[in-house]
Amino acid sequence: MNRAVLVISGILATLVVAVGVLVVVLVATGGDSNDSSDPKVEGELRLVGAEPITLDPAIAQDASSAVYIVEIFDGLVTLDPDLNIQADLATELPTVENGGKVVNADGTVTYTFRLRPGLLFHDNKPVTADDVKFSIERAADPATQSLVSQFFLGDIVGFDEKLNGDAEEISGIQAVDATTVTITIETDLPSFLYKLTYPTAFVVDRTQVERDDNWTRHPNGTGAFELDEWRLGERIVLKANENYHLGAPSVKSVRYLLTGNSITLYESGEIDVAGVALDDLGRVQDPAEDLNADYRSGERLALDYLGFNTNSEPFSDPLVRQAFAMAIDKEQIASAIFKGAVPVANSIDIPGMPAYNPNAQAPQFDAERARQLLEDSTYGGADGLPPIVFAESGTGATSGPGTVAIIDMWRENLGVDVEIQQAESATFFQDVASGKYQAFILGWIMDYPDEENLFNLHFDSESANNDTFYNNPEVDTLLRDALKQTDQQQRIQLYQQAEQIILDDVPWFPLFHDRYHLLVKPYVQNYLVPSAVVERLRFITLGQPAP
Amino acid sequence: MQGLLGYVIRRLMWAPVVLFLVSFLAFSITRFGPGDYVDILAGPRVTPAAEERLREQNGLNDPFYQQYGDYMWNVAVHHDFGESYTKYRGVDVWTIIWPRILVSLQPGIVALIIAFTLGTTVGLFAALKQGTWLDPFSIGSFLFFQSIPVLVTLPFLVLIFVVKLGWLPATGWGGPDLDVGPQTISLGIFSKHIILPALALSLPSVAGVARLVRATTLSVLGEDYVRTARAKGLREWTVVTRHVARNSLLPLVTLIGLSLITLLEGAFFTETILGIPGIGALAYEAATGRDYDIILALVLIIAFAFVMVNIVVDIAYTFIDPRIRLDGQGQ
Amino acid sequence: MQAAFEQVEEVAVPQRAIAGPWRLAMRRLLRKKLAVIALVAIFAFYAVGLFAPLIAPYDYRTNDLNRTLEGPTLRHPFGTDRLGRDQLSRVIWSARTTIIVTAATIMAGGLVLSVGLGLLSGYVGGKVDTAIMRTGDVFASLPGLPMLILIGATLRPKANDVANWLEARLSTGDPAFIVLLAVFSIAVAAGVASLLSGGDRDRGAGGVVLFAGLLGQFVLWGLQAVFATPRSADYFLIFTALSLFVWVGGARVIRSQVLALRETDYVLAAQSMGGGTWRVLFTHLLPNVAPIIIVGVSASLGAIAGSEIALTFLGVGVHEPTPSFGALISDSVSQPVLRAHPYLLIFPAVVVGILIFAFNLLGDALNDVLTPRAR
Repeated sequence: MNRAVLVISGILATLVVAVGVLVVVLVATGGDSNDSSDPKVEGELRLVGAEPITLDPAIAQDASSAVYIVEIFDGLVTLDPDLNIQADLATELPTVENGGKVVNADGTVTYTFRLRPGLLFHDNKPVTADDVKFSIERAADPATQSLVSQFFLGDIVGFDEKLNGDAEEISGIQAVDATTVTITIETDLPSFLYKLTYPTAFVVDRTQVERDDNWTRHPNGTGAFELDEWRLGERIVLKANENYHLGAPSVKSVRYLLTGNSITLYESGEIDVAGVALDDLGRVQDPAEDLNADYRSGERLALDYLGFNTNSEPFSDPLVRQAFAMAIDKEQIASAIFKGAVPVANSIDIPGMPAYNPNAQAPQFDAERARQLLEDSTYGGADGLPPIVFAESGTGATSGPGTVAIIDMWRENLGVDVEIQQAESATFFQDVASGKYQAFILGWIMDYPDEENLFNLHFDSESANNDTFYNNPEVDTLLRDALKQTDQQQRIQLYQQAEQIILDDVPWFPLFHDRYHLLVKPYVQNYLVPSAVVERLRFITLGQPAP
Repeated sequence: MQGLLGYVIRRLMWAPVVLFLVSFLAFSITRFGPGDYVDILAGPRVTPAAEERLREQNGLNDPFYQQYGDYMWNVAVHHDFGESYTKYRGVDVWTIIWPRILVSLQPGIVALIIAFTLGTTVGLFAALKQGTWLDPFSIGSFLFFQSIPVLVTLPFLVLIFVVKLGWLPATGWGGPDLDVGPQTISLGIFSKHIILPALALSLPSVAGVARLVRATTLSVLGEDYVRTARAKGLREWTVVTRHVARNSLLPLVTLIGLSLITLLEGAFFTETILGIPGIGALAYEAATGRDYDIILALVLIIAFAFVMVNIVVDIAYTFIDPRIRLDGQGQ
Repeated sequence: MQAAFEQVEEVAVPQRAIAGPWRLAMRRLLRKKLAVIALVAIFAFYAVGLFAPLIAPYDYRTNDLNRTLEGPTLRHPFGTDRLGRDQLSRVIWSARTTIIVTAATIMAGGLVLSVGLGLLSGYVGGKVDTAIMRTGDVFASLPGLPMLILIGATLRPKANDVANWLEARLSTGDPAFIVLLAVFSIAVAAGVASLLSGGDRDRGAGGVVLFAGLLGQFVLWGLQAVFATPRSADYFLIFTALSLFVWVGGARVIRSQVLALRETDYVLAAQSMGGGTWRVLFTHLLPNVAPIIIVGVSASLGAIAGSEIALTFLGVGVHEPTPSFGALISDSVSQPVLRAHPYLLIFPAVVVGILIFAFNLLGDALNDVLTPRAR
């Protein structure tokens, strides 16, 4: 008896049996591939989402949490889908004209916000000025451990005392009466109202927060939607708030699936909107495909860039930075690896931003010149360089294909071997901020459409977020002037001037701007894709789904 | 039975020692890893002062032994495993882990049942057909699956049943609701979501069960009472069910411990590949996200389960089969 | 009635000369067709991995952005990946990674740790024995994969430092390395000398010295080779972590063999005739434990290879640019990739499947022919 033949035929037989068993099970459980998903509920929008890290607005700092928070909670002011500031809980935007904004004698500025009449939390409790004051003070409370409150609320008079535990209250926030709040900031900053649109300043229910340790699992907000169900790792269901102060949303509920491959779910009719993965893009963009009719794509306010730590060898030498930038053929990476899914960036500022300059010039790909620059540098060429470690965020088994392609281009065009190091994202951000890496690849998504959130934040030598430790007094002056400049035209000019200097110095080398690629069912109307994370579900309406 | 009692007591005394060493080891690893809670918490916008404040608040400036002591005291006395620091920030660890244990148990139990029933059937069949081609054939076919890691079989199953045939759902988990404390989980055991993970998890264990059943059955078949039964003229079916099966299945108890390990390790891959919200996926998430208290709690709970299962199996086995010598004392 | 005997017979002590059983075992092994096929497959795998630089048609790093994600063609039989790298070459280089990790783990955990600790435990006895065996119990009751993930995720930067330090120490330019090398070389020379001349007693001691010297040299050069490889920290971390979990079984068996041997008549006789216990144990122990070690090693090879692949898959094993089956599979496991480019999964997964199956078949066969009580 030949055992080998037996074993092999046994394997085949088992496979057949296994398939047989499966078929039986499938038939027994009903066979139809949709039966395990919940039936389509009338007026329900079904999306895929990511598990949020937290639903506490005071500590959230990531897009995956903010997506839900902006729907459930509101602040005094908000950004509309076109990223213009609008009044939300406040009746109107405070301006000098309507008396809401007053510049005081000592240079401080006081904003007065009047709450809309009849504002209610989801549990129908009225919203008062005290709730607003409490929420902002809670974000500043050291016990809340918010890591973003200082950035977004730090301009308020008395904030630091509260954060350091030296004060019970923030002196710059006063609840004048039940519906009036005043906020006083240190100096006149055009961007302060933008900062108030970030979740850190959103209003939470004081009684709930103080009584219930587990309140983020069923938060009581004021937003257009309330949390109906959060099943860990599976789904989040939001329910429309019929009493919403800006008008009840059209969709009755929104269901986010937290696992599963979106395009497969889309094709089987289990979701109404799906993001398109790189490997599916070719198929979706093919006009012959059915899916092509549902395909939509557009720009987002985001930038991928290489950062060169200007404090570390060899990137302290601007010539080396330029050489490394010029050795990268972004066009080829975009077309060969990303299949044209992302547009190449030649500027730091992003299309759609006020000061975006289409004529900005980042260093262009030129292998010859790159090599020449490296030889002209203090290191005299590839052989003189110290070992270089290039960092990216990630924990998977493999590096991002773009990163590997860049490393290859450096090896090929400059003759420099660069090692890739991966770090899990939280550690990665920390290490970038503390200057542990020589160079890194990173992305930036705008929090609000103001250049402050891009240039002052990253290139002012005093900024804690200056991740490349870039220090150029000329740029500092330009950026600080721009920050205080109230004339929009001159402000834009100052930023554009600073941008070109930065591009030539290459602390950042812009790689790509971001695009979204979506499939949207035809019956989903007014599905807006704002450039930043802002409230949008309440604008959507559902037509009649195809049978 | 004096020896047996002493043995049981000694085994039970050993458990806390193992658990102490395991917890100490795991705790040390998390504390000596790069970056502490605060490094991990700190986003790009944190100031050094805020960082120091957090460090003090979380007791990270205490000496190492005190941190370990505090942690274990909270676990043992207050049933408090700390809280999540990155992914599920601020949420109590036990609240995160408990529903996930219940999710992971479902494919685990189904896989265990499949492995043992299928394995026993194949093993008995092979033993009864000893000497014919069916014997090596039936066992050999499952040997293949025993060798191939879940990591390799599962993508193939996904490729065939989800991507190509579209018979199974593309999402990882779902089913009827079950409320557990503050969370609700899905009973995937009553839906098609159970099929892929249970299949992938059970396949590697079938051959082990089958071989053990075959070996013990062969030895039982040679025993006097079986020959007596046959000599009495009992039908073959009766002999097999009454005498052979009962006596040859007892040693299977020992395999349960081993199968649990296989199942747990397989869960890392079924859950990460399929997106099932169980402890395998959680452990992976927590380890890569350095969510220290979650990893610690998981390692402790898993180690506790292992130690207990092994003790129970050992003790059960000594009751089942008195021929087994305790700690080699039989000599 | 054979079955009843099997349970009683705990430790088999061969009574015959060494050459006989070995040749017999070899002949029996070669009679098993399946084992031979497995052996050939493993041999081929190792040959391919060892000579990867010569065999692989392309460099595993060379990308060609004009030829990304091409299906299998004559030019690229396994297709190309997202960066246009030749998948066949990456599979071949991944084999090399598997070989390095399995070999290093077997050497460190399977041989050095288990033999060393087993001998120590059995021979010294008492407190040392208890300490070693209880430590073994702890490792045996630890959940292996979660611990490995924990170690891999947290200790990597530390491992990097250690690896860099060791790499510097283990270079031929470092005096400490030269001194160690010289010591082991002298040991080998002394061993050979005393074997050639001298009486019975000298010869035994000479054997011990020779063995120790050779083992030392072997380990030293092995480590040197490991740490001279780029990205050695990854390998170092994986095989150290794996070693911690593989030594227990081997050490237990060796310890029980030592204990059993100490009581056998001929050891007692040898001792009474003036032979040193060490020498006696050594000359009698090796032939006795060798088959058990071989069986143990061959049985764990598949598991070790699988662990490396699993750890890399989970992102805590070897890292870019070092190719590994774990990374290849992880790259291809998402549903969009499975749908658009299934060949990215199929080739590496089939190779891994065959390899681990072959390891297990061989382990089984060796168990059959080398363990006397097996049928």
